[in-house]
Amino acid sequence: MKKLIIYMILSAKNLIQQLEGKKKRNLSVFFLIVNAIVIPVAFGMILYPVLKFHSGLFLLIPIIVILLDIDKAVYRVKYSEDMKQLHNLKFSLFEYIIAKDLSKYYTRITFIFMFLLSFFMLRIVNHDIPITVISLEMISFIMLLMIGYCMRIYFILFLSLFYKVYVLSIFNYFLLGSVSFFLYLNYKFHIFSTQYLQHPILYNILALTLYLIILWLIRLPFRHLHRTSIQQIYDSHKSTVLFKRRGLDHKSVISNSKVKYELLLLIRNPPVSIGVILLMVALSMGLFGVMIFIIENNNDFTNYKNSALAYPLVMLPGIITSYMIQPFVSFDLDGKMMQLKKNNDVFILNKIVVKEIISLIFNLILFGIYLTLTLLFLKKPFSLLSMIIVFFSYVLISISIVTSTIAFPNFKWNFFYEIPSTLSKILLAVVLGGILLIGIAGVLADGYFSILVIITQIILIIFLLMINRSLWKKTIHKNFFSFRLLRE
Amino acid sequence: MLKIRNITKQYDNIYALNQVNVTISSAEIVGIIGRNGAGKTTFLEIIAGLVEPTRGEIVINNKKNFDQKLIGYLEDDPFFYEYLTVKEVIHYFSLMQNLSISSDVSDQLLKEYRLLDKKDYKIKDLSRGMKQKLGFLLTILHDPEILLLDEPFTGLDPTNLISMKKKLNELKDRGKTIIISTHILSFASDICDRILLLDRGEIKYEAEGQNLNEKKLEALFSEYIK
Repeated sequence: MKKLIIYMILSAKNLIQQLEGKKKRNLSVFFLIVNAIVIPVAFGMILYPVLKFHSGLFLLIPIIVILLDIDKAVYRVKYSEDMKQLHNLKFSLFEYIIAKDLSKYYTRITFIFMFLLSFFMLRIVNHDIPITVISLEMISFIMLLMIGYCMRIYFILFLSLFYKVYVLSIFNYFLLGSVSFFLYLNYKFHIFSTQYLQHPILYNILALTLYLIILWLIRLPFRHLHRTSIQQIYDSHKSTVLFKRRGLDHKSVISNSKVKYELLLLIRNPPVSIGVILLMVALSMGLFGVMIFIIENNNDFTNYKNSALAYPLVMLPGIITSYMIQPFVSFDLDGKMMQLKKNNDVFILNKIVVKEIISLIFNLILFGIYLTLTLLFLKKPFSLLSMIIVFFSYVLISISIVTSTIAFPNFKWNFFYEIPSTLSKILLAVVLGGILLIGIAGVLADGYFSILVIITQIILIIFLLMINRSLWKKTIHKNFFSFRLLRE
Repeated sequence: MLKIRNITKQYDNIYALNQVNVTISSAEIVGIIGRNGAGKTTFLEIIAGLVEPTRGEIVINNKKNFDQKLIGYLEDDPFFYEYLTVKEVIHYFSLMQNLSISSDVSDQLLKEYRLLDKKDYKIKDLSRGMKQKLGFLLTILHDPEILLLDEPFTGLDPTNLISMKKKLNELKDRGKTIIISTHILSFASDICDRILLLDRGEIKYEAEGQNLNEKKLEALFSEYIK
């Protein structure tokens, strides 16, 4: 235990120390505290009025703890740079997995714990139910948190030994799907509502017992690994490498297309992979579906079915997705390679162009999907001018995604999800706001004003392209802070 | 011709390089030796334009504002795209520099560097020595006039060391200026026309001609670096 705590403190300290300047270091600690304490407490207060009648939903804690960011955890376990050092320090297999997982996941655990704490504090203050019941409930939920984490460790071990990392992001679908499904069940059949139960604590004890039995069953096949060394993980990784060396690996792809190689780099890289891209599309499609559902089933909306409504409908899922696309076309994705090539203008400019093209491809595919669906679902959809405005809005988004990462790069990232930097994301938010405003103004107006908006959009596209081709010279030496440095 | 004039690099109160002056002509191989932290990498990085000097200037062919394409720099721990294969990396790097090479040409290059049988291996599966060779190949891909090699022999086995030596001599015969930072004194004395001994950011000694043998270099090391 002591070994684990020391490892976690040292790894957090190491991450903070790698930031240049006291200001950045203080900022990282500030964000960490906000993320671990302030936000969950605020959430607890906001959701309290709803959750006090549905506290059975907390029984989902183990499922959330097991699946949340499991892909990142397995990636850390399998591709850890300090695997050999930890082996030399006599970390057992389980100690190693817990150390690697908790080195980032502790922020999530703290988040859930603080959320629960704030919720139960409010319960005590409001005297909803007797304090003994509240205490028992709190203990049972904290136990659920611990059981969930134990299950997570076994799950990480299983995935690290037997599963391919690049399809792991599929577990994010499971989490999303299962939580949505349980919320739906609760909405429809009140299965997690405690207001109708006479003794809700019995419900908790039953769930706790069930989870403990599951944990015990999960533990069984891994008993023999309890005191083994990290060698198990290393061997499983090595066997994949050796398997490939027997000549079963793919042949090299030879092409004259820079974009093809860039896409190849994206798809082959374990943390990126095709699964993540699918997740992006699925999420934004889901959002799109919800919006269509609301609009179609709400008379207030139906009365205003026009271009002004259709514009945000087509744009919003794209805007949400743009944040997911941003890391894949980020200027700093290639890490220190870019700084080494900083005197090679041709190389850097080619990189920028390729990233712009990929961003355009992603966004225009989304544009095609959402525009078609909007035209199918809304009876009085777009005018031609509005469609042109939407098209150029998507082009503007594509280019500005790249611009935001050129303006505030972070070349010294350790894990893929640390890019883009926090300032890049903020800049993108501001630019996206501007793009939306211009677009809505253009769609609401008619005739000449719409044409004026289209011309403005074209000018902005050219301006952003020029910015991309010159700004990198000023920012290539810099490494901006990433909020995700210390958290999952 | 490469002229390094009064180059100084200062970090707070520490001088990584202090008033370094060197002139290196074409078709010359110059070795930089010195203990760890002597300023060898900073010296190469300043010439490569990766680090801005506090004072001084670099002049190539009598031009202060020279084309950076004239320089090829191989860092001590080459970084590649780990998930591309050896052959893909060569094609990718040439494309990104607007050079187009055919599959046959890349095969020929890989054959020259004894990497042809590894052409479909992903970079992450290569040994350190193989990565070093690939790094060298990529450095000379755009045919630079000046080659800056930081510890290029690390991880190479004797056979590859000999073939690397042959390659460097070929490049020298083609008029290239080569600067090598190394700890392997025997190799430095064998291949270099001149050796600079760098310590605490200053050139303490220049050895050439008869002084270029391993024993003399070892003696120099113990004399100047205490």
